[in-house]
Amino acid sequence: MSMKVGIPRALLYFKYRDMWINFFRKLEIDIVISPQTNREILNNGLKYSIDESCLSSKVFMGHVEYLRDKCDLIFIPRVAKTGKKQELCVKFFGLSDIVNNTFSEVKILDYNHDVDKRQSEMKAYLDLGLKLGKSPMQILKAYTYAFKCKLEKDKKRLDKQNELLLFDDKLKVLIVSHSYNTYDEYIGGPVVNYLKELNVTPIFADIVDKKLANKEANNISEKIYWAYNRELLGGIEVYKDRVDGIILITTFPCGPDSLANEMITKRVKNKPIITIILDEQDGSAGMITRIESFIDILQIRKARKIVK
Amino acid sequence: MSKQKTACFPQIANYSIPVDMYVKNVLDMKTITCPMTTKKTLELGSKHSPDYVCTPFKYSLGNYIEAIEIGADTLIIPAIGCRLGYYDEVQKTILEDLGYKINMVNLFEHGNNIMGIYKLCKTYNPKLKIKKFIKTLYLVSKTVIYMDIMEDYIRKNIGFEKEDGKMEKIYQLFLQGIKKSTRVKHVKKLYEKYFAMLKEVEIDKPENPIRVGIVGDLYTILEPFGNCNIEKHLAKKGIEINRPMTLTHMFGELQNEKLLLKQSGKYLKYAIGGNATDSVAKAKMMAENNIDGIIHIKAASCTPEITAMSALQNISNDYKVPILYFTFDTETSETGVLTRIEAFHDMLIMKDLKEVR
Repeated sequence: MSMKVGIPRALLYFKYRDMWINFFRKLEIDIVISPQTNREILNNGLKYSIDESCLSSKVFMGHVEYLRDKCDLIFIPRVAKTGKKQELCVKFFGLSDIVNNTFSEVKILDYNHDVDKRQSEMKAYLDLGLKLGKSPMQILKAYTYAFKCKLEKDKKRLDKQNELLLFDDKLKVLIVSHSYNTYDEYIGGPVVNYLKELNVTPIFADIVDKKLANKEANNISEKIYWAYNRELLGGIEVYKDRVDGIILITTFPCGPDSLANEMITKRVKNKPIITIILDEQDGSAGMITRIESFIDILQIRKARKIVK
Repeated sequence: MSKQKTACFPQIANYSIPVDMYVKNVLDMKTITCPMTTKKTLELGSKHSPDYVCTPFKYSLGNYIEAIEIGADTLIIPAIGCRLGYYDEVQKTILEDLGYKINMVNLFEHGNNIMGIYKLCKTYNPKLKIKKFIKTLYLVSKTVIYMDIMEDYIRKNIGFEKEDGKMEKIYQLFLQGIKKSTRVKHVKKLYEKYFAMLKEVEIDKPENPIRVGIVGDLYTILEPFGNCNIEKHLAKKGIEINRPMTLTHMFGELQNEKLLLKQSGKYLKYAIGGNATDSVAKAKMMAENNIDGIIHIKAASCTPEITAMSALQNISNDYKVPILYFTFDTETSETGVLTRIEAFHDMLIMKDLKEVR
């Protein structure tokens, strides 16, 4: 039985890629991952989404469209709640239903990770493996292997970033944005690349020790219960003293960000902050001008500090 | 002894009456009714809110500011679920930044089960006896149920009144009456009296009137100012309005996710957050009951309802029911809404004629 599973390179992919890819590889399942977002994928996403959805979910729809005729199953897991104060945006609750209602012929492969419904991560992966016709023993092995790979990769990324923070004396800017925006080459990519062009080192708020971030986030907001926003708030608290400025990148109209960014701008003082809202309109001139002037300000501030 | 606190609940239809009852009796606070929502309230709310937050945030923030100006120092919020659950901390921060010293009480701070609610009441009113707590809960839920039954009757018949405004007048009298009640018996008596009066109001209802169902996010369907009085405009056209989603409903069925998913059939596999699962379930149910048209209303950028829309489109196709979608933000003009309703109404009439032929 050679079955091909398609993974859209959007949203949860950027959180779970190491986990998913290794899990499927260990179980010897063929996978195909959609390419980096490009204009065509985005256009298709716009075509198949409700107008008012957020840009990130429109990109996701574009990737699903791309995979539609290239695989047998499309992998769209539902991750709702992973722990106390660790919920996801409601968008993730209904992703598979949106796809199911939009592309009626698409077959969806999913798992449901929702601790409120007694669906722990391990249970969710077990369900997934059984759907693929594997034995519980195989699944458990693959899950532990994938989990280990994920931890290793996370640690590698964290170490690399810490090294940069210690030894790099260029201007440093903290990028605060959901992983699926930062690492998408069409969404957050242009911002990151432009910063590098300006000889600025980008530091990423989502590459952070998870436990520490979860604790530190309370300094900005005690109550916030979105897992990814909590991680970002924690990232700000951990890194803010070691960077020169903060860039908040948001896709329009992100629900959790609308409130979380308000808290950030109100609670984080003494650090220049700029908010960049991205939408589906092309044209990076506005973004470039704003970042350029922001970096100019940071450079002046830094020069003054050295003189003092 | 510390001064008694003055509490305020934002304007959501007439539901501040039962909430006030609750706050007075179990939280031991004075209550104040916030000034009626106006365009000015909206401007005030939007000015201090994040740009693209969902609309109820802006409405309630405006309500709160106006209430603080007339003396409220404690703000009541039922923060639970979706984005609403995080409103309280952000609104508190914004208000404190504006220089107001206020206290925010989240009715569901310790969860939405009975023990959680009791625990919250105990923190604010340590002297509270469990007997009084249960009694008040009973009183409040009964009041809400009576209100909803009457409102449902009014919605279905107000469009066919012979003399305009009679039902509304009777209902207002009922509301004035229950404001002072402290006992279920009293509320029940008033309900029986005024409901009988409502039923006596002469109506001129055809046998098969045009029936339209309304679904959408809870705040926007409940608060007339939030939906540009859409129900009133529909009634004026002589339309029977069906709206199964009420506050009563929120206590009961809305908690039962499994039932809602079953009702949604093939259109939903998982709960999609907020009360959008319910929107889909109820839309499907109404479509099965041969309703003439459905109107879906939501506040701007309401994520769960946007998810629901993809399912609603399929319901519309499968059952051949026209669905009209509305998004309300602070800039929506009533005239625009009216024009779209008129066109929708005309279309329903034409569809009706075609089917008769």
